[in-house]
Amino acid sequence: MELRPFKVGPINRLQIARFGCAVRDFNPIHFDDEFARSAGLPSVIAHGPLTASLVLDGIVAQIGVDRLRGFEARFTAPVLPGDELEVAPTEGGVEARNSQGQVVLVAKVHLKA
Amino acid sequence: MDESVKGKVLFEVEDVLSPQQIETLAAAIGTSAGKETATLVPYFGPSIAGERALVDALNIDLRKALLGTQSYEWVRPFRPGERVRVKVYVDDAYTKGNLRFATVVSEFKDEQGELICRQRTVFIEREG
Repeated sequence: MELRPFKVGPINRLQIARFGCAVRDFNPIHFDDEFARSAGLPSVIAHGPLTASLVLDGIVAQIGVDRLRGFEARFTAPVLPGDELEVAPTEGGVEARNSQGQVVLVAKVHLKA
Repeated sequence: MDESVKGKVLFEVEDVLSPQQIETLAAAIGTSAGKETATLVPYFGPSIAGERALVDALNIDLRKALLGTQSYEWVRPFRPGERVRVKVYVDDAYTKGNLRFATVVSEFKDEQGELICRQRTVFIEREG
Protein backbone atom coordinates (compact mmCIF):
# COMPACT_ATOMS: atom_id res chain seq x y z
CA MET A 1 0.00 0.00 0.00
CA GLU A 2 1.44 3.33 -1.01
CA LEU A 3 -0.22 6.33 0.56
CA ARG A 4 0.88 9.91 0.28
CA PRO A 5 0.94 12.24 3.31
CA PHE A 6 -2.08 14.53 3.57
CA LYS A 7 -3.64 17.18 5.78
CA VAL A 8 -6.99 17.17 7.58
CA GLY A 9 -8.81 20.27 8.76
CA PRO A 10 -8.71 22.64 10.45
CA ILE A 11 -11.57 20.86 12.20
CA ASN A 12 -14.43 23.17 13.14
CA ARG A 13 -17.43 23.12 15.45
CA LEU A 14 -19.90 22.92 12.57
CA GLN A 15 -18.29 19.68 11.43
CA ILE A 16 -18.57 18.32 14.96
CA ALA A 17 -22.26 19.30 15.13
CA ARG A 18 -23.03 17.79 11.74
CA PHE A 19 -21.23 14.58 12.60
CA GLY A 20 -23.04 14.28 15.92
CA CYS A 21 -26.38 14.69 14.15
CA ALA A 22 -25.49 12.21 11.41
CA VAL A 23 -24.49 9.43 13.83
CA ARG A 24 -26.83 10.47 16.69
CA ASP A 25 -23.98 10.98 19.15
CA PHE A 26 -24.93 13.90 21.39
CA ASN A 27 -22.40 13.35 24.17
CA PRO A 28 -22.13 16.88 25.64
CA ILE A 29 -18.36 16.62 25.60
CA HIS A 30 -18.64 17.40 21.88
CA PHE A 31 -21.10 20.29 22.16
CA ASP A 32 -20.93 21.92 25.60
CA ASP A 33 -17.72 23.77 26.52
CA GLU A 34 -18.66 23.97 30.19
CA PHE A 35 -19.26 20.22 30.35
CA ALA A 36 -15.98 19.57 28.52
CA ARG A 37 -14.08 21.78 30.97
CA SER A 38 -15.64 19.88 33.87
CA ALA A 39 -14.09 16.77 32.33
CA GLY A 40 -10.67 18.42 32.37
CA LEU A 41 -10.58 19.43 28.70
CA PRO A 42 -9.89 22.94 27.37
CA SER A 43 -13.04 22.92 25.19
CA VAL A 44 -15.32 20.57 23.35
CA ILE A 45 -13.52 17.87 21.38
CA ALA A 46 -14.15 16.15 18.07
CA HIS A 47 -15.82 12.73 18.19
CA GLY A 48 -13.17 10.01 17.85
CA PRO A 49 -15.11 8.46 14.95
CA LEU A 50 -15.17 11.91 13.28
CA THR A 51 -11.39 12.12 13.47
CA ALA A 52 -11.20 8.54 12.20
CA SER A 53 -13.62 9.37 9.37
CA LEU A 54 -11.63 12.44 8.33
CA VAL A 55 -8.40 10.46 8.23
CA LEU A 56 -10.14 7.64 6.42
CA ASP A 57 -11.46 10.19 3.92
CA GLY A 58 -7.91 11.17 3.00
CA ILE A 59 -7.23 7.51 2.28
CA VAL A 60 -10.44 7.09 0.28
CA ALA A 61 -9.46 10.13 -1.79
CA GLN A 62 -6.31 8.23 -2.79
CA ILE A 63 -7.50 4.63 -3.21
CA GLY A 64 -11.34 4.68 -3.18
CA VAL A 65 -13.69 2.68 -0.93
CA ASP A 66 -13.72 -0.66 -2.69
CA ARG A 67 -10.20 -1.70 -1.72
CA LEU A 68 -10.72 -1.10 1.98
CA ARG A 69 -11.32 -4.12 4.22
CA GLY A 70 -10.63 -2.59 7.60
CA PHE A 71 -9.50 0.43 9.57
CA GLU A 72 -8.38 0.23 13.21
CA ALA A 73 -7.97 3.61 14.86
CA ARG A 74 -6.46 4.21 18.30
CA PHE A 75 -7.02 7.65 19.78
CA THR A 76 -4.03 8.97 21.70
CA ALA A 77 -5.00 12.59 22.37
CA PRO A 78 -8.12 14.76 22.07
CA VAL A 79 -8.72 16.68 18.83
CA LEU A 80 -9.98 20.23 19.42
CA PRO A 81 -11.79 22.70 17.17
CA GLY A 82 -9.16 24.51 15.13
CA ASP A 83 -6.78 21.55 15.06
CA GLU A 84 -5.20 20.76 11.73
CA LEU A 85 -3.81 17.27 11.38
CA GLU A 86 -0.84 16.08 9.40
CA VAL A 87 -1.35 12.46 8.38
CA ALA A 88 1.64 10.39 7.42
CA PRO A 89 1.82 6.81 6.21
CA THR A 90 3.37 4.25 8.54
CA GLU A 91 4.14 0.57 8.23
CA GLY A 92 0.65 -0.87 7.65
CA GLY A 93 -1.29 2.29 8.27
CA VAL A 94 -1.20 5.98 9.10
CA GLU A 95 -0.43 8.31 11.98
CA ALA A 96 -2.01 11.74 12.55
CA ARG A 97 -0.36 14.59 14.44
CA ASN A 98 -1.81 17.92 15.50
CA SER A 99 -0.14 21.31 14.94
CA GLN A 100 1.94 20.81 18.10
CA GLY A 101 3.36 17.58 16.72
CA GLN A 102 1.41 15.45 19.20
CA VAL A 103 0.17 12.12 17.87
CA VAL A 104 -3.64 12.07 18.10
CA LEU A 105 -4.45 8.93 16.12
CA VAL A 106 -2.63 5.78 15.09
CA ALA A 107 -4.38 3.51 12.63
CA LYS A 108 -3.90 0.27 10.80
CA VAL A 109 -5.34 0.05 7.30
CA HIS A 110 -6.37 -3.33 5.88
CA LEU A 111 -6.86 -3.74 2.15
CA LYS A 112 -8.71 -6.46 0.28
CA ALA A 113 -6.51 -9.07 -1.34
CA MET B 1 -18.95 1.39 34.33
CA ASP B 2 -20.89 -1.79 34.92
CA GLU B 3 -18.73 -4.87 34.18
CA SER B 4 -21.68 -7.25 34.67
CA VAL B 5 -22.87 -6.39 31.15
CA LYS B 6 -20.01 -8.39 29.61
CA GLY B 7 -21.44 -10.69 26.96
CA LYS B 8 -24.82 -9.00 26.92
CA VAL B 9 -26.63 -7.78 23.83
CA LEU B 10 -27.34 -4.13 24.59
CA PHE B 11 -29.77 -3.53 21.77
CA GLU B 12 -30.93 -4.76 18.40
CA VAL B 13 -32.46 -2.22 16.05
CA GLU B 14 -33.49 -1.83 12.44
CA ASP B 15 -32.80 1.33 10.54
CA VAL B 16 -33.09 2.68 7.02
CA LEU B 17 -29.97 4.50 5.94
CA SER B 18 -31.45 7.63 4.47
CA PRO B 19 -29.72 9.53 1.67
CA GLN B 20 -30.04 12.61 3.91
CA GLN B 21 -27.93 10.91 6.57
CA ILE B 22 -25.21 10.28 4.01
CA GLU B 23 -25.48 13.93 2.89
CA THR B 24 -25.17 15.20 6.46
CA LEU B 25 -22.16 13.04 7.08
CA ALA B 26 -20.58 14.02 3.76
CA ALA B 27 -21.08 17.66 4.74
CA ALA B 28 -19.37 17.00 8.08
CA ILE B 29 -16.42 15.48 6.26
CA GLY B 30 -16.49 18.37 3.83
CA THR B 31 -14.32 17.09 1.00
CA SER B 32 -14.85 15.93 -2.56
CA ALA B 33 -14.45 12.32 -1.41
CA GLY B 34 -16.77 12.82 1.56
CA LYS B 35 -19.86 11.30 0.01
CA GLU B 36 -17.96 8.12 -0.83
CA THR B 37 -16.31 7.98 2.60
CA ALA B 38 -19.72 8.45 4.23
CA THR B 39 -20.85 5.10 2.81
CA LEU B 40 -18.20 3.42 4.99
CA VAL B 41 -18.98 5.19 8.25
CA PRO B 42 -22.63 6.27 8.30
CA TYR B 43 -23.19 4.90 11.81
CA PHE B 44 -21.51 4.85 15.19
CA GLY B 45 -22.92 1.60 16.56
CA PRO B 46 -22.97 2.57 20.25
CA SER B 47 -25.18 5.62 19.54
CA ILE B 48 -27.56 4.01 17.07
CA ALA B 49 -30.23 3.27 19.66
CA GLY B 50 -30.43 6.86 20.83
CA GLU B 51 -28.72 9.44 22.91
CA ARG B 52 -28.68 7.67 26.28
CA ALA B 53 -29.04 3.97 25.41
CA LEU B 54 -25.39 2.96 25.68
CA VAL B 55 -24.56 5.35 28.52
CA ASP B 56 -27.40 3.93 30.59
CA ALA B 57 -26.65 0.30 29.65
CA LEU B 58 -22.99 0.55 30.67
CA ASN B 59 -23.58 3.10 33.43
CA ILE B 60 -20.81 5.29 32.04
CA ASP B 61 -19.88 8.63 33.60
CA LEU B 62 -19.34 10.77 30.51
CA ARG B 63 -17.07 13.19 32.41
CA LYS B 64 -14.63 10.34 33.05
CA ALA B 65 -15.00 8.41 29.82
CA LEU B 66 -13.10 8.53 26.56
CA LEU B 67 -12.91 6.54 23.40
CA GLY B 68 -9.81 4.38 23.17
CA THR B 69 -10.21 2.73 19.79
CA GLN B 70 -12.69 2.53 16.95
CA SER B 71 -12.28 -0.24 14.36
CA TYR B 72 -14.20 -0.97 11.19
CA GLU B 73 -14.30 -4.20 9.22
CA TRP B 74 -16.18 -3.94 5.92
CA VAL B 75 -17.61 -6.55 3.61
CA ARG B 76 -18.89 -3.73 1.42
CA PRO B 77 -19.88 -0.05 1.70
CA PHE B 78 -23.39 0.81 2.93
CA ARG B 79 -25.98 1.71 0.29
CA PRO B 80 -28.12 4.82 0.73
CA GLY B 81 -31.76 3.81 1.21
CA GLU B 82 -31.04 0.26 2.39
CA ARG B 83 -32.55 -1.28 5.51
CA VAL B 84 -29.99 -2.47 8.03
CA ARG B 85 -30.27 -4.66 11.11
CA VAL B 86 -27.89 -3.75 13.89
CA LYS B 87 -26.86 -5.77 16.92
CA VAL B 88 -24.76 -4.10 19.59
CA TYR B 89 -23.21 -6.20 22.35
CA VAL B 90 -20.51 -6.00 25.00
CA ASP B 91 -17.67 -8.28 23.99
CA ASP B 92 -15.53 -7.56 27.03
CA ALA B 93 -15.53 -5.48 30.20
CA TYR B 94 -12.72 -5.34 32.73
CA THR B 95 -10.70 -3.18 35.09
CA LYS B 96 -6.98 -2.58 34.75
CA GLY B 97 -5.38 -0.39 37.39
CA ASN B 98 -7.57 2.66 37.85
CA LEU B 99 -9.13 2.33 34.42
CA ARG B 100 -12.27 0.46 33.37
CA PHE B 101 -12.58 -0.85 29.82
CA ALA B 102 -15.57 -1.98 27.78
CA THR B 103 -15.33 -3.37 24.25
CA VAL B 104 -18.58 -2.90 22.36
CA VAL B 105 -19.16 -4.67 19.05
CA SER B 106 -21.75 -3.44 16.55
CA GLU B 107 -22.75 -5.70 13.67
CA PHE B 108 -24.60 -4.28 10.69
CA LYS B 109 -26.40 -6.74 8.41
CA ASP B 110 -28.61 -6.28 5.36
CA GLU B 111 -32.14 -7.61 4.94
CA GLN B 112 -30.77 -10.95 3.75
CA GLY B 113 -28.75 -11.27 6.94
CA GLU B 114 -25.43 -10.69 5.19
CA LEU B 115 -22.82 -8.76 7.14
CA ILE B 116 -22.08 -5.27 5.81
CA CYS B 117 -19.80 -3.97 8.53
CA ARG B 118 -18.58 -4.78 12.01
CA GLN B 119 -17.41 -2.04 14.36
CA ARG B 120 -15.41 -2.58 17.52
CA THR B 121 -15.33 0.28 20.03
CA VAL B 122 -13.28 0.42 23.21
CA PHE B 123 -14.53 2.81 25.91
CA ILE B 124 -12.24 3.73 28.79
CA GLU B 125 -13.46 5.22 32.07
CA ARG B 126 -11.21 6.71 34.72
CA GLU B 127 -11.85 5.91 38.37
CA GLY B 128 -12.42 8.57 40.98
